Amino acid sequence: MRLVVKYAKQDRVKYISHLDLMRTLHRALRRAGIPVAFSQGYNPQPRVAFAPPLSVGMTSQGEYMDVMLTSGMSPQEFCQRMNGVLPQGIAMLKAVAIDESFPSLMSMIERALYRISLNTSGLPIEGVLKDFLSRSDITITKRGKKGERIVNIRPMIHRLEIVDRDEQKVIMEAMLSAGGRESLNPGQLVHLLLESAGVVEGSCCLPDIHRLDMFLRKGNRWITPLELGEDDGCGQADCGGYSL
Amino acid sequence: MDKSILDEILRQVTKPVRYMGNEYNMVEKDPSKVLIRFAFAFPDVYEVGMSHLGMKILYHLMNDREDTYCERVFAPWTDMEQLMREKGIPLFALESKDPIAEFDFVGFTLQYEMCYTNVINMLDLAGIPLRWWERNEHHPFVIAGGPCAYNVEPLADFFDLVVMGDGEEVINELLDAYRQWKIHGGRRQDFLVAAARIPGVYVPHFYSVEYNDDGTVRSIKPNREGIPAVIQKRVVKDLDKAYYPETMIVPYMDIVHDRVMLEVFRGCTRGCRFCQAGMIYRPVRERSVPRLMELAEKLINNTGYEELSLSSLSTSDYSDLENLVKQLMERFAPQKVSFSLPSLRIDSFARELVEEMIKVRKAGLTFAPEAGTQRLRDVINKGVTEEDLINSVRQAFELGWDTVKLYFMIGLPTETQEDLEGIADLARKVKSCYLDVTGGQRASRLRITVSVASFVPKPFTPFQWVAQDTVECMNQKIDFLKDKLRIKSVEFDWHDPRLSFLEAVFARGDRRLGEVLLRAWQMGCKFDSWAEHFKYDTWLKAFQDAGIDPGFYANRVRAKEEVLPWSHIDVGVTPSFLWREYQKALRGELTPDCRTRCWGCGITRLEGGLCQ
Ligand code: SF4
Repeated sequence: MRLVVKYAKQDRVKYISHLDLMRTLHRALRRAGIPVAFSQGYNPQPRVAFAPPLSVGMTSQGEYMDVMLTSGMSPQEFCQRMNGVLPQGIAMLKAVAIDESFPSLMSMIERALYRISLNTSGLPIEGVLKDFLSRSDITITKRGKKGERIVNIRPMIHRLEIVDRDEQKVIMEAMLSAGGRESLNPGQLVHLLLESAGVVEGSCCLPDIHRLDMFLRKGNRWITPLELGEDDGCGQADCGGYSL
Repeated sequence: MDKSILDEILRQVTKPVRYMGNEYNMVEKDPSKVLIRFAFAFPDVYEVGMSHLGMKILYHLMNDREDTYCERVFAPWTDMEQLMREKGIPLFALESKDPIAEFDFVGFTLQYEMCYTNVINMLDLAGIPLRWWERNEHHPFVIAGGPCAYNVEPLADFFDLVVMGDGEEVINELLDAYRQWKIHGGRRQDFLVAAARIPGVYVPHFYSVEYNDDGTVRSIKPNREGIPAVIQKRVVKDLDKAYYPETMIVPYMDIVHDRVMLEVFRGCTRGCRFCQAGMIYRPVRERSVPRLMELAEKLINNTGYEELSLSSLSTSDYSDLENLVKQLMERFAPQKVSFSLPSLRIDSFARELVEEMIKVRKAGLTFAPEAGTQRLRDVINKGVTEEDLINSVRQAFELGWDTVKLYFMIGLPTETQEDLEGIADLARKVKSCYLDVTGGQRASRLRITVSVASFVPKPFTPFQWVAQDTVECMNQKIDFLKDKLRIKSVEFDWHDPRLSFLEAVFARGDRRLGEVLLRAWQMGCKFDSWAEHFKYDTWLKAFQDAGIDPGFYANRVRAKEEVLPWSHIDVGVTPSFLWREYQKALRGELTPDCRTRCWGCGITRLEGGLCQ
């Protein structure tokens, strides 16, 4: 049986790395007595896979993991048992059973939606944003295994807009590419945005970044991984109104 | 503390998880509802401190008391320290994030000598006056325990009191005494006087030390009424009945020993003459298989750990090891829990056992012959022969291992060039054994690491009287070995002799070294056991400024009559036994394992009849 589970990583655990989080969840699965399947071989590993990782320092209400079980268990029971043995700040939100033949979350997910809260006292942020988005080329240098390469990240910003503000802060939402093929880190986006306004990122304007959800393509629609679920049709709250 | 300031600095440091707390099984209490707040301080970084079994035991033991809240504090790494000092954030405990200066106790565990400057630095960062006489009613009692506490003299200025021996019982007695004192009110000294009457509790400033003209100690005597002349260490008699936690904190970050630690026994019967642990943790006390199974069950269920280690000084000596491992395998292999058996002894390396282990996971292999020739191994009473070693590695190679690590010490008493050559010979023999077993097949996969540390004579061992080699001499020996160990597939690494030298100074130091520690810290020494922070020249300057010759402590032979700075401490094993062992060492005579026969080490005087 294969479960896709949506979970939250909150403020109290925002500094733990993806590797730490994986280890923490593996151990929670054992504490909860979940019948997790293991890989074969000398060093058997639990068959748990994850959606694209969240950067250290960010919070999220839209993380996903994909757990293979050796025997059946209702998604509700899974969440209940896990929530009884998790450290504060990590919470299972919802689980669904999905068809075992689906590819990995990592390969299916293409986009992630973030809420970015930025201290911008004195910065004409609307104008900065407009100028930034009007560029057709925003290039960065990525360092990878095959050396350096120049990447245009503009096509990876699908939406970036201000949704709320007060005297000191603006709240933006950003729909960005995420996943195995191409992805843009929202932290880097903020850095580039501020840089375009001539602001050197310092402790004055460190953003709070929160992931709201992740999406994959189904036909011509964007759905969340939960909507892959067998008994969870679209049209529910999770489906959201996020357009292409 | 203001959480937003903490949040701001955590964004800027490496490994913020070190300062975050909130791990699964962390104890949360309302601080206003307890009488005693205790900060358990480990003078090194989180991932080192969190690996320490003693802390796990005492943390949960103290928190099981309703009147006490025990929290943890570690040495902040230098980037964190700098930001804390800039923003005026005092050292805080991980659980509540409250400054530890407000606590009733700050208790350090002293695991190795080179953490002493970190102790001072942590007190300073906490805003607690460094020396006992500078503290008043508003300050915590600064206390210590752990193996280095047996000769705590170099730190005597900094601690209000020190606990000797197994902590499980004495810590409760100490907290009970504190409770009385806090409820009834009184002066700081009144509590110390009451505490000093608890067996195993040492208040350094209740003792006066006098010195001879040649710099040696003349006498150590209590300077007030009702204080024992000798402090005897505490011993927990029955480990099955002793407290052991049924849960452990599960860290987020990768720590040094990230697994369930099951202490199978305490003490060691081998009697290796260089080994302080083998002497100070006597006598041997085992936990029974049923009790261990019960604990393993609870600990795995409560932590979810994927690995369990059987810990002790030499786990393969556990009297019912096969049975224990079998039961553990049967119970936990279906859950994919793996096992690691540290400090596997080459002479009791049972093939059957290894085959069982390997079913679950392939672990790394280390062997510690300690010396290169049989003669020298006899001197140090390491009852292991070359044949034992070769047999063990042969079995490992047959089972598919390709890497082994061999540990040796250099500078052992009576060592000659032949003994050093013996190290290279052994490495070569291990290599040819591998080629023999594999028929030259996977030859390129073979890796033998020869790891060498300079011998550090420790108090409460038969070698407490001997001189350590000078740094120059140890460097020459290392150069000699570098040359001899130019062998394909063999790697050579060594411990910095300058560090071993300072370890030797502080291990057998007296109270006059407090001044040196303070000066070294003032000049920036901290995290000395971390190569990137070790400032040897600064240390030498600190000795010079204090007018103290470190060679007096490290490189001098002591006479039998000399009053050693720790002679008022009774660890059970008697000085006369240690001297006898020293003389036997010089004659190259063995003292076989005392499971076969009692050698009268003296431990039976404590609590009576423990070794019967
Ligand atoms: S009393 Fe005898 S048996 Fe016990 S530790 Fe000492 S020498 Fe060994």
